[in-house]
Amino acid sequence: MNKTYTRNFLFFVYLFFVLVRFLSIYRSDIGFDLYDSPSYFNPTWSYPTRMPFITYMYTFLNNYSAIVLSQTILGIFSWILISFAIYSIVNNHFLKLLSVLLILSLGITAPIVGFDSMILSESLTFSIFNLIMALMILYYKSKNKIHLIFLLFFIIFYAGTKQTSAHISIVLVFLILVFVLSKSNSIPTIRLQISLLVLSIFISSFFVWLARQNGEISGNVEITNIIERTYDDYESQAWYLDRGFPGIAYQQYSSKPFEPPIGPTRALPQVKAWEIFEKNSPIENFAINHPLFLIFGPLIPNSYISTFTDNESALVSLARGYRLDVNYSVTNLKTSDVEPFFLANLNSPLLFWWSDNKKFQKFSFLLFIIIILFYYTSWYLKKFRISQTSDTLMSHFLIVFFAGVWSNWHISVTYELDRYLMPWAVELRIICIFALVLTLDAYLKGKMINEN
Amino acid sequence: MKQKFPIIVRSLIIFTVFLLALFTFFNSFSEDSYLPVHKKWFIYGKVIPPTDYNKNVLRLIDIDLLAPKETAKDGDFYWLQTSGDLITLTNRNFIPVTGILKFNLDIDPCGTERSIFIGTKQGSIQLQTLRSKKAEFEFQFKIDSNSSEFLSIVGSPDRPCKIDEEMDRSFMAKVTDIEVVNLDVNE
Repeated sequence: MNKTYTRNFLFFVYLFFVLVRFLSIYRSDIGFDLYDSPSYFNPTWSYPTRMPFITYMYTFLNNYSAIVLSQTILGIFSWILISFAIYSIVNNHFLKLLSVLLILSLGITAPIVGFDSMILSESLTFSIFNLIMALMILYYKSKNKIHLIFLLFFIIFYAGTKQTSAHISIVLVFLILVFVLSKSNSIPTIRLQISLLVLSIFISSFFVWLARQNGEISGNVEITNIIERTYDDYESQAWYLDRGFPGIAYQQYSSKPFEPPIGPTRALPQVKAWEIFEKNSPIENFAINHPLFLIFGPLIPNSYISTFTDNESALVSLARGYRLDVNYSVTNLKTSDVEPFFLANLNSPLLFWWSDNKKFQKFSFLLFIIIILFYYTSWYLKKFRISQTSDTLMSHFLIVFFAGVWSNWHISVTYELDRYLMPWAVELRIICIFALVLTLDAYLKGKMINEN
Repeated sequence: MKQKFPIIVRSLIIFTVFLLALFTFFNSFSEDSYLPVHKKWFIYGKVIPPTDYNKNVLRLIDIDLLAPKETAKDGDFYWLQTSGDLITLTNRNFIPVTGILKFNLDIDPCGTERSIFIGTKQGSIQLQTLRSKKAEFEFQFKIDSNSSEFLSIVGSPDRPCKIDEEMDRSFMAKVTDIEVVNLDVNE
């Protein structure tokens, strides 16, 4: 394919993408979550409710429109960079274009664009994780120290934006360290690169420590989870009661609420005393003490908690995504009213990435997974020539995906599961595109070698 | 081993992706979803018993103290502090119950003998902690369906007892062998 033609085509594709993203936010008002959004304007390094990078950034911008615009610009840049990174690792010209089209088509869909107009951490989470994936591709391919420096910069930025991201950042740095150690013979600046990675482990650990200081939100989430998950399951309930969790919390939480019930429940002196003297990551401990639940809970939750349904499976949330444009609980910052569908004015498409139809959700999600499975099958077929670097990247992306989904499910299964799993629903779709173009590229490469 | 490790990791990843496919295939993707506890009150206008609740099987009374439970070879115990404590008995049955709360009170680590007052709805009960023997406490209670009963514990704050420990507690007495006996339905 003619290179000039390809370049011009890509220029117009990127221009179209940038225009769509800007026009989308221009069409709609800004969304504000009454419970969560205000907490992003309290910057502190001491017992932070929200992680410092995002609170300092929002407070520094000090204007809702400026925040939305910054989120949009970073989002646009991240989607372009990830499309470029995948473009650069594929050999075939047609597949290069296909990868860009697929990635950008995902980047203009409603569930992703909607978060740019919200004063929440999701938009930054998608964007920074895209940048991390893009830089991992570029670094694993080049092993260049500049790529590594940028990659570690964004991993640390990621660690400082959200509590769960801080934990995932440690996993990311360890995987990169494993990669560097396995390629130590072919990296000229190996000592420098290992030093940077070790330093990053310490910095990420600091953010994990900081994330664990957050007593307010993690306390709400943990107590909500304990009660919601065990109210109808006395055997599990007895496990927590035996570890000092006060039984009166169940009565308070389930009785007539005048406000969200977690507030009055946590205000009980018995609950406060338990939190001060006896609480020790109960949800994490329950998961560790029940290994089968730890492994299979996110897949088949109704096998472990009788009142759960298929709907509480992580698979459904990953397939469905989180639709802000059909959300009835988001406040329109301009009118201060909860106006359903005001974010639908973004008019962003769903394309084939998301759907309201349950059957289509299931079918498309199965298709994504089958494409990834087929990628792994192709490794064993002679006709396909997959590079070691691509394979390592795919494995590392999936390890992070599993860590993210499993940890988030165990924390948030009764607490806005769809929203917590949304970054991983996006990542899965990117991994699927990556697997698709790598498989096709490996087939065409194998075919060319066989013909020669 | 160096060569086997990536193969093991790869196999685990493939197995997990296969599980995702398998469980997605069998997932109904139904519209039915779990009904959160906090929404049940608004829907039914009352507290709904847990779905696994069997009215013929009495659930144990949950006993809570503000002091943390500690464990020793001869059983669990609680250190009461001079700031006092609160015993909460929670009936998780959806039927009124009666029973007897029993526990022993022992002296603080400094061996100080004290007067301890246990407040109930019916009045205050005085106990004396002695070096020679543990003070025994028994209290017959009635608790309504899905409700709690509270007993306050206070003692003399004079002659504070402190030991070299991180929590820097001011010890008052030790609660041991706390249990509910003769639990029955209150017809």
